Order: sequence, then structure tokens, then C-alpha cells
Amino acid sequence: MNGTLHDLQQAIISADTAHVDQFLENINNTFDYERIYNECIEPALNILCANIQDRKGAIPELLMGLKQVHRIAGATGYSGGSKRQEKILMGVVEGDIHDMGKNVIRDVCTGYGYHVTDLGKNVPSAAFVEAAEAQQADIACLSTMMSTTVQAMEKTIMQLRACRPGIRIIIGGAFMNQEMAGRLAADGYAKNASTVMNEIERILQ
Amino acid sequence: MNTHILTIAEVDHNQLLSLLGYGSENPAPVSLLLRIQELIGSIIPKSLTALSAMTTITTIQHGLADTDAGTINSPTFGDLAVDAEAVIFALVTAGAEMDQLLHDCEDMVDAMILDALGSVLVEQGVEMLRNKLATELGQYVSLPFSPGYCDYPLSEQEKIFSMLGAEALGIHYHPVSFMMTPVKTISCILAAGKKPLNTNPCSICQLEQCQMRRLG
Repeated sequence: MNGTLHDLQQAIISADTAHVDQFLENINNTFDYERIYNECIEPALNILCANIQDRKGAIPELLMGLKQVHRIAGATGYSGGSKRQEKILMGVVEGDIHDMGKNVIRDVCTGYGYHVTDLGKNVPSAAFVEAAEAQQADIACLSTMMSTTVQAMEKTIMQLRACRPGIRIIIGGAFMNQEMAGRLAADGYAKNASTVMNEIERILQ
Repeated sequence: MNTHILTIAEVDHNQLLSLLGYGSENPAPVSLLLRIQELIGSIIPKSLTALSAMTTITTIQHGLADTDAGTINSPTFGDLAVDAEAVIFALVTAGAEMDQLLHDCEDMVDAMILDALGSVLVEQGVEMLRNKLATELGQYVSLPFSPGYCDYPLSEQEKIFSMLGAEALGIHYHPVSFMMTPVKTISCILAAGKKPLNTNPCSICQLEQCQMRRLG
């Protein structure tokens, strides 16, 4: 059985749809998602993220692996969001509609078992505040690709802190960096989808 | 103002793979390369629309180029244009069709490929337009210089749009962020002249750490 799970981990890493199909057919609902997640999915996603950081891979491979993860989750009846207790809110701040990076981050967080509320793009600060309160969000991931929307980012961070003082905030996007995170009073900065999990774990400590 | 239809014969694969995060040390997997080929072969629009308008440089004062359309607020462009006679204002767009493809795409891998493809196509379109203008004018034409890069303020977007009347083609910009729709659109200026130009603004730009630096 361990060999089967190891094979599945490799199938996720190599985005081998046929192999994943074979696994799902063989288990015939006898595996629980918890075990598959712990022994296959999380290690596979960790390897895919590490490959990006080591320049042995790139984001599309992580996305292809995540596709397999979502298929496994669907086939095993896992509805998502129950692996981790923290709730994540995310969106692209007002004035910007570049949402590719944010969408990748959303899929990574979902793949790692977080409950994610995605507010989309061009999101006013008031909408972030309303959702943060309604969802009792623990983490907010804010994104922008532009320099002209840094003020919108700053305003959103200030308002989120005012409505939920304990919320942890991570920023990302082309003009963002660790220094900018400090300047905008964010808790963390994710350079790309491969580092967001490390950053979430760091700010939750 | 001139309208150009630019047809991309072949997508720049190296640039595309680079945008997706691949290089010589981490080549893209075969399955991804096959999917890229499928997308290029089936649904990607290959024709781009471009607008251009030329205005005369009257003087270079305090390092800035004064033109019939106003002052170009970039010292770097002023340096670049010192031997130029004209400024060309230009817009190249992949159009609303590309935006719709991106909007409708529900598969994240496809969406990422399409997003990168759109960027590569408009970059190629700008280079195609530059070569076309150089041939038609019989002049040297610099590399493009876009608002938001180097020391050329984003607010200069307004000048480019007022020169080109781009809204008639369905190209708009946000009055605060200056972001354009369709998303896969490049606005730029180019210097043109009969004397050989230092055609690359990056070679005289002070932002040495800029990720978009075009040298070498």
C-alpha cells in the first residue's frame, strides 16, 4: 500500500493523469482523503514548490500537480477547507485587474487544504473589510501588479487591521517585496506561489 | 494617425517559455509544450491592431524633448532623442478577443499559458510595428519606451491616448491606475530620425536593477 501511495505522489508531481485515474479506480472509495493528503499530496506539493525555488521546475508544473490534487479530492469526496483551521481571504486590490498570480496562490492554498474566500479583482477596501468580518478571516492575501495601486493596498491593510486586529496580512505582486511589506505594515510577502505556504506558516508562528 | 494590422507568423517560443518560468536549466515538460502548441494552433488570435501617429521634436530643453504634442516628461527619452527628429506615439493590442479567451478560461494551466501568449504576441507586435515604421519612413526608429518604465511617468498615458484617439478602437485606460483594456495592449513612444540613434533607451537608463532592462 505504501508503494501505491508513493506512486501516487510521483503521479501528482509528474501530472500523470492516467496513473491518478488508475489509483482512483483501484482504491474504490476505500482510502480516506486525510491519509492520501498526509502521505501523498502535501509531500508532492512541497516537492513541486521546492523545484520552483531551486529552478528545477516552474509554476505550470505546480498547477498541473494541483489539477491532480483537485481530481483526487473530488473523487474521494473531500469538499475542501477542512485540513487547516485558519481561513484565508484574498483578492486583487482596487484599481487592478491582473489576477493571474492571485488565482495561482488561491489554488495552492486550496490544494494545501485551506478554506479560501476569493474576492476576485479590483476589490474595494470596504469589500475586504466586510468579507473579513463575515468570514472571520485569519489571513488576508492582497495582490497588485502595479505601482499605481500601492495606495489602495495601504488603505486596505489599514482598514483590515482596524476591523480585525489579529488578522495576518501577506502581500504579493510585481512591485511588492519584503521591504514594501514592512513599509505597508503587512506581516509577510510572498514572492510567488512556491513561497506562499512557507510565508503563511511563518506569520502564523 | 495610422492604423496597422500586424499578423504574427510565428510565436516567439523562447520568450513564451521564459515568461512561464522556464530556461535552459529547467526545460518545460513535454506535456506542457504539447498543450502550448494546441493553444497556439487552435484559438489564439494571430492578428494584432496597432495605431501610430508621429509628431515633430521642436527642441530638447532641460533634457526633455519638446514636441508639437507637448513635452515628453522623461529625461532618459530626452537623451535618447537628442539626434532624433520625431516622436512616434503607438498602441498595439491583441484586442477584446484575447481578453475574452482569458476571461472564459477555467483551466489554470491554460489560463497561464494564454496570459503569457498574449504578452508575447503584443511584444512581438510592437517590434513588428517598429520595423514597419522604420522601413516606411526610411529612418532609424528606437526601441519602444512605455509609460511606467524607466523615468517615463504612467500619467503620460494620457498624451498617447489623446494623440491616437484610441477609444474609437475600444482601447481604454483607467484614469487612476492608467491600466489599459484590452489587457494585452502596449502603449509606447519611439524616437525616429535620419541620423543613427542609440536605439535602446535601457542603455542610458539609471535603473540598473530594473527587471525589464534590455541589454546584451
